[in-house]
Amino acid sequence: MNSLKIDNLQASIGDKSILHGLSLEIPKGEVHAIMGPNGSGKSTLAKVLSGHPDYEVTGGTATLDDDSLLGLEPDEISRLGLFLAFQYPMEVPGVSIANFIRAALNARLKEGEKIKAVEYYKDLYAHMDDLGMDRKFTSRSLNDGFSGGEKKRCEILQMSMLNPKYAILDETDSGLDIDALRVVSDGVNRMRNPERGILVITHYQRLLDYIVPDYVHVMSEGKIVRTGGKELALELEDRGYDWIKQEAVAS
Amino acid sequence: MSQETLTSPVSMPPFSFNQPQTFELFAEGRSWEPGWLADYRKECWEQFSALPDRILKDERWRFSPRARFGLTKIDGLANAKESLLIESASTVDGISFDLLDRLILDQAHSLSLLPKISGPNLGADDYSLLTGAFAENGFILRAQASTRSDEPLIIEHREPEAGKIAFHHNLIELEAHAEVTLIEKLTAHPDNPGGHISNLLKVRLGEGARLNRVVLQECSQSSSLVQMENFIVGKNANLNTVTLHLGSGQSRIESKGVLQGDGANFDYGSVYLGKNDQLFDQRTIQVHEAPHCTSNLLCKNVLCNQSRSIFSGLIKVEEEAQHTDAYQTNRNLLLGSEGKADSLPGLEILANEVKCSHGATTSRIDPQDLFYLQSRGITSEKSEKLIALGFLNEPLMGINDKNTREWALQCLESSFAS
Ligand SMILES: Nc1ncnc2c1ncn2[C@@H]1O[C@H](COP(=O)(O)OP(=O)(O)O)[C@@H](O)[C@H]1O
Ligand SMILES: [Mg+2]
Repeated sequence: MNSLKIDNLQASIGDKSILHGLSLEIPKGEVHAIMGPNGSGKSTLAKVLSGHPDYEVTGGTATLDDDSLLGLEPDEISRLGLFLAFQYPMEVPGVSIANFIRAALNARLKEGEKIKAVEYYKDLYAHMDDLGMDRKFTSRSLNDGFSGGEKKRCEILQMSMLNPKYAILDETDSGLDIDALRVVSDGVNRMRNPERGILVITHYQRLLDYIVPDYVHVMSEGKIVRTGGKELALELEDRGYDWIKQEAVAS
Repeated sequence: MSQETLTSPVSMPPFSFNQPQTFELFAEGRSWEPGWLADYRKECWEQFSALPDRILKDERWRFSPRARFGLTKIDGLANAKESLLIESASTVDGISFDLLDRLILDQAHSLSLLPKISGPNLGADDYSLLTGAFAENGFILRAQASTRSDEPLIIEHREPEAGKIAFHHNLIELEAHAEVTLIEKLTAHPDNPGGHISNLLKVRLGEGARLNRVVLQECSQSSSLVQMENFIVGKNANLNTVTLHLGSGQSRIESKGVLQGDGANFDYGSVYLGKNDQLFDQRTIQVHEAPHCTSNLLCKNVLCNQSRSIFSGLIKVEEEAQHTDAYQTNRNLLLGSEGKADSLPGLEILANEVKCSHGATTSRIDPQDLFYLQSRGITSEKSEKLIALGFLNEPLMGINDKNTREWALQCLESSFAS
């Protein structure tokens, strides 16, 4: 199986149920987008798939290729090949970007393998150049005092360095001006290839002008309520989310 | 105990600081020393002997399990020749970097300043006085006016063998506009750990002088350390000291910074990584005596396992010390649930034109931060270490010399790995 497959997923936090039987399959080589109103559970889905300990999975399955993700530690899921670009990346003082990414790469090495510093920096700088990031950033503390745009670039930098099989981008467009949006989208588009599946979560249609998806899903109240092509995003832009909600209730 | 040891023929009383013979024997053995030094030793000993029994309610020992610094565990003096070693000597004319035991022989007159600067007196009076009485060694660093050493001078304090105590009476005196970088290493005994070190350091900086000092403490887990420091900073002088404590079963650190001349600056950083049941007991005072001075103190501790830290710091601004900028920060990070940090920040301000702040926090790793790092494939254990390492990074950034800074960071990193 070459896909990230979610089937009838149910999850809650505390005694609040958020995902109510969500199903979605992202095959390698495709870009899917999830759109939906605030509070519909988009970030919850991303965090549950990534193994966030606050959420309890109460039903359903989620598999990455042949491996079940549910019940694994976040670091195990990451090493299986899932990457989550955070909607709100954490600030970690004193941990430099270079050391952080190196630690993440180190975690993927086999016994006896080592990262060569020269090659590592060459690679890191190349990716930073692509994202228009100043090389001085390597020694800056992770996200500490970064602007919104800098944080999002830093997420894409991590993604491109870690080369995941599947990536989920949670509102990577929020807080970006148009130039930053273009740079970040280019970064994501460079990562599109037949070996990788990408899930873009967004509230606005605008991002999908830059990252053109193969499929658009609409999420409402913890479920996918509609799936279509990229034109569905435009329709949502025109008509808002309410008509979808109403249809969902009617059916 | 076996029969044989009971019937041992020699009846030497066990070594103890409780009996006068201990000092008398010691003084006899050093009867060749100049009179002023003998007098100084005797005076220290007498003051020590007159100290009241340890009182339980001594504010200067608040929160401290003081018994861990008890003198009864000590069963003899260390070999003073072995406990101190100059690793990198001065190559600059006008800057001398020497050992006390050699100077007592050759140039005892040059040491007359030693008794004149009093200790920090922040609680460990017994250790301070015993150091005055018994110190056979110490380092003496002196720089004449306007001299400058670009290469760091390096000294190693070596933990003595189990049960023995090394008393080091150290002195740094920089004349006007001299600039020196000093690295002090405190190292573990290689095969019989469990010794004690009592370090008394007096520092005096002349006008416009600059001292950059870095201390790396890697004594054994079974050792004890008492470190007493008194920094007197003259007019427009700069004192920068950063200490990295990675070892020692229990350490008591007493640091006093006195801003004595107009425009003096005192930067003090310390990092402590506590493991097992280590105890780190730190008392500091920033005394602003002159106007237009700055002092900045940042102490960060990470506590793993059952380790403990105590921080008690005071900023004291005298009436004359207008236009003072003084800051004091203590931050503690608990890893796991068994560590403990106590913090007692304090201000005592008599001048009215001052900018002062103090702050103390104790926190744990934010689970959201942990999730973020883990989501990149880093195990929770490694993620915690990375976050803690980042937390401790800040005081080390105060090390001016780039190579020394990187070395300190590496020492910290490898201590985390072990
Ligand atoms: N930590 C939390 N505690 C309680 N409720 C939460 C928590 N995180 C999210 N929720 C709730 O879950 C719902 C879905 O949130 P979220 O997944 O962030 O939505 P979206 O990303 O689509 O805006 C919201 O009603 C939100 O209030
Ligand atoms: Mg969200």
